[in-house]
Amino acid sequence: MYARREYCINCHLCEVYCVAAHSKSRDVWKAFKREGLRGTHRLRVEERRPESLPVHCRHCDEPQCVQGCISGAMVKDPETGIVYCHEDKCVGCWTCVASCPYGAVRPGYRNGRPVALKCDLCRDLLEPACVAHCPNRALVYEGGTT
Amino acid sequence: MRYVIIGNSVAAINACQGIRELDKEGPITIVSAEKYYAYGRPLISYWLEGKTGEDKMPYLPPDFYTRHNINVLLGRKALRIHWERQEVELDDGSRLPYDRLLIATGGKAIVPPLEGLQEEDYVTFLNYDDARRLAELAHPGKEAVILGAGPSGLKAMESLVSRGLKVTMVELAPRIWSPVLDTEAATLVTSFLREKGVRVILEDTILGGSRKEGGKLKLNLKSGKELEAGLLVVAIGVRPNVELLEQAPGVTLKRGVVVDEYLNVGLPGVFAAGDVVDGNPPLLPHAAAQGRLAGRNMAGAREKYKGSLPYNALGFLGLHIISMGITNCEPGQGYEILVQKEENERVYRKLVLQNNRLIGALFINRLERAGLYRWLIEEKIDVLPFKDKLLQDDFGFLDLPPALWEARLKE
Amino acid sequence: MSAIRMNPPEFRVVRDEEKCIKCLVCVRQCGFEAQQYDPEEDRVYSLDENCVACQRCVCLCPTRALRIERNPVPYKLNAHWTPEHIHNINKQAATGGVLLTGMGNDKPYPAYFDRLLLNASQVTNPSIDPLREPMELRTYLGSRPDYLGGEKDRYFGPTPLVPIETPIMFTAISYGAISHQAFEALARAAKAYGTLFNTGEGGLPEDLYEYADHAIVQVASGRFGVHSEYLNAARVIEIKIGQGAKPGIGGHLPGEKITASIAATRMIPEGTDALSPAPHHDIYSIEDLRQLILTLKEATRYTKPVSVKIAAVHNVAAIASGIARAGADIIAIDGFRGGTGAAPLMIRDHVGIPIELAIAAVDQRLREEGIRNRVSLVAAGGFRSSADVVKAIALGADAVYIGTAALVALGCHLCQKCYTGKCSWGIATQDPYKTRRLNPEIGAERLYNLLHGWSHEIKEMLGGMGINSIESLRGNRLHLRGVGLTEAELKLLGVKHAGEGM
Repeated sequence: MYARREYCINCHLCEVYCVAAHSKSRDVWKAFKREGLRGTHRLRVEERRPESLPVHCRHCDEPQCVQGCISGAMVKDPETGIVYCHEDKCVGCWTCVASCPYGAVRPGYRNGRPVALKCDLCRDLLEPACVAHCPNRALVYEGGTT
Repeated sequence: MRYVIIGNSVAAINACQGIRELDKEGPITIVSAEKYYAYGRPLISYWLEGKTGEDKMPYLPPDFYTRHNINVLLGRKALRIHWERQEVELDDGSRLPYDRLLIATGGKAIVPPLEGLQEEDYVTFLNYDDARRLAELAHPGKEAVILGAGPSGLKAMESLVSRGLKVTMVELAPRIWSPVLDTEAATLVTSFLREKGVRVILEDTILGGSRKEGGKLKLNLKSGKELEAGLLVVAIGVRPNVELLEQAPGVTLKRGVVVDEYLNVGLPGVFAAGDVVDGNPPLLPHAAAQGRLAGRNMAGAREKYKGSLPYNALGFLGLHIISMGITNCEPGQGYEILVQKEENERVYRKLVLQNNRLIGALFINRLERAGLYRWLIEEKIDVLPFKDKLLQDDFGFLDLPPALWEARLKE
Repeated sequence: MSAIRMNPPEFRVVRDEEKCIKCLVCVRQCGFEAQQYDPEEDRVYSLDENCVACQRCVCLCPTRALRIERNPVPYKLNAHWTPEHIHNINKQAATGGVLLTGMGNDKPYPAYFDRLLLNASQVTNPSIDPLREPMELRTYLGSRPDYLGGEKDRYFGPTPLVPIETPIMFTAISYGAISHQAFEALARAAKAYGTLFNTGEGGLPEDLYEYADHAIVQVASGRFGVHSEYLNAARVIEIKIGQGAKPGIGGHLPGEKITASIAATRMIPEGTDALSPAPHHDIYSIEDLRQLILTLKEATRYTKPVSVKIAAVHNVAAIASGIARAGADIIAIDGFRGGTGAAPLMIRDHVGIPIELAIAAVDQRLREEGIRNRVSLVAAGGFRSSADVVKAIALGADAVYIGTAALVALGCHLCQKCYTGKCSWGIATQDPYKTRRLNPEIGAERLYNLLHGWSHEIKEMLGGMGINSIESLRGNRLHLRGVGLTEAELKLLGVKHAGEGM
């Protein structure tokens, strides 16, 4: 997955749909209004008008967030290459926040616990929600491999 | 190829992964003095606080060992190594032959001489057993004294405070966590601690003490003060655990074991990784990185360990700190310091620059994108073109020349 | 200046607070600062007076929490003094300026397309199913000889015919009036579908020369961006005399919109106003026009047909005759509904004539004079659907230009604020924060789809009439019937009233 920043329109809808895709209900409204997940997006849009840039996990070959994880919550799936966080195992020490050279892991709070928020490429969906909902095709997903 | 790994923490486990990247077959045996499957040492405070459970302690899923043909000997100590015969002698008398050996024995808690006190009078705070011992002793309302206000002392403090103990910290240095926090940062953190009801005693230490009637400890401080405590935790640091390497031929021991750039200790087939290595900061990410590389080199690779600056993330009682590189220095001597403060929010962000290169960063309570700064440090990037933007709240790639990042984000 | 805001807001933003998740997409996307956020109060609110009802926020809101409503104006009812007149007077009383607007005439003048109906075959002549049988929409634009072999008689030699795969082209919209992204979308779609786009008077940006083979390049009164390579790269050259939205007046692209790229394309200094004079200063007669036509043909070695575009005005038939005789290969006629990036409101809404009448009159006149073969006739100005296209061709056009319809496909919601340069949809703006909203890849796809849909519908309508080629429809007014039209209108359109037989 990568961004074509010349087409990023700073709408932040990727963030909105990221939150929804990682909610219980998978519904934008419920995620924000009932599940209290505002701000729990895993990618972030940088903003320097007129420019904007979605920054998300690169799913590195040698992920430093995995290397630095104290609990073993952050893992790289050997088959898909997806780097993701077992949120129930994460204790919120934020070593991953300090590790990621892209600044792509966010210190967050979910279900009453501090957890590292990081892109998992919506592992259980066909296409990451941010890509599917980008209104201007600024996000490109070339699935399967990393 | 037979692999033996002494130690069963993060360096050891990453070594297994490193080995298995190149050698899927060779049997691996882990000798673990502790009776637990590998867990991240820093987790113990979270366990003690109840923020994570016993089931979540293991660093890896339980099937990792079987899937990778790794034999773990739990609760087994390596007594000595027969270097010429390439055998490790265990405490049950058995001997383990090896072709490749990794020393990943980590560190030992440092305990200063405490006159009048016995081993059962204090607890160190390094491993799971320490935490379990504390769990039995730490009852709400008890008064605890922690010697040492560094990272492990602070984490111990957090656990005990959240278990309802009254905590006093005693630190010899003029401020807490002095290698990392400058005066201002330390003052900020100390005032936060005091607000949380933690007593912090600086420029003082415990010389000894005695157990009084009723089981309480009376502690004598260097300043002449006396403290009463129901519990004493000693957390002043760790020392590399090099016992097995004493008298090994061709091996240099300084504070830790000296390794070459391939992490070899100077004996054929013998490597070391993690806290036991001389000069390696006793931090988890560094142990993991070394472990993996040592594993790969044990399995035939010949890769150099580049090392990285120490960095650490530490949180307690809701306050969070990330530090990286050199953080504790004052302006002058070629350093340029950039600081952002928001006193109400207890936010403190400090960047240390030298010749327009970032060499250190300290973030308190505003950590977003801390890793970006670490990247700037590690890559020695000239920050002059965007120096004024570095401490903006939403600092990011768009503040940097695209040549630095555009291609990286498209890889 | 008075501090009283005399005009109440035209629209109001209705936000369903229950649905709103405060994601702020509306605030970030509004081009007119009508959507606001107050972080202190954590409140999203609206400045209704800024809202132009462009619908950008409505379309992007993920929870559909927004609706724009017309703000009811509780003036005393007055059929003569409408709120619009009152508001316009207030604006001018405040500024002393000319009222400006964008897009086409929006007044309720008759739309003859809506008073014309098409024929279909029943029993005595078979209809054709375009999915089963060949159906030809390819149209050749240019001048035909008076008789077979007659090309040799022409003093200035023939220019080649230009085929288009559907009788629909994209009209002249300049780079500058619209963003590079919108311009590129038009060019890409034209190439993909096998039709033509029109550069307008702003030249062809260097990076889009790969589409020049599908470009009609304009030579207008300002001569912006005209150079030898530009003319020779094109497929067709068009002399722009007039424009349906503002017949008789020139153009003015303000300096703020003249970015480096637009300046380079137009060959003018960056940041200077681009002024198109009302007339070509070298054209005051048909003879002068002939000189320019021949100059352009000479410059391109007679490899490019030359089109002359005029606004539909009262004397359009005679003017068209003159243009045909001046050596033009194509005449483009732009009706009073034609759009623009900026026009004085009074001109836009009160000058020109409907394209339906103009086409009928011009086709009739050229036939009567026996010179209809010398030119292709392109109709423009407010084509809203494939039915409008079919009716225009039956009235006598060879092909049509679409402009507004194409922009709608690109996202335009006809807020008519093009002249402000603030277009929220990234079309009529050069603000880099907004132009990026139009991904040319998506734009080209949508335009291609539109051409595809309309072309298919045209085939269906042709098949229904028992015709298998668009050529057979051209000027075939027997396929049209008027409804509710006066004798004069029927006569001018050359159609019978509905109910009359063949």
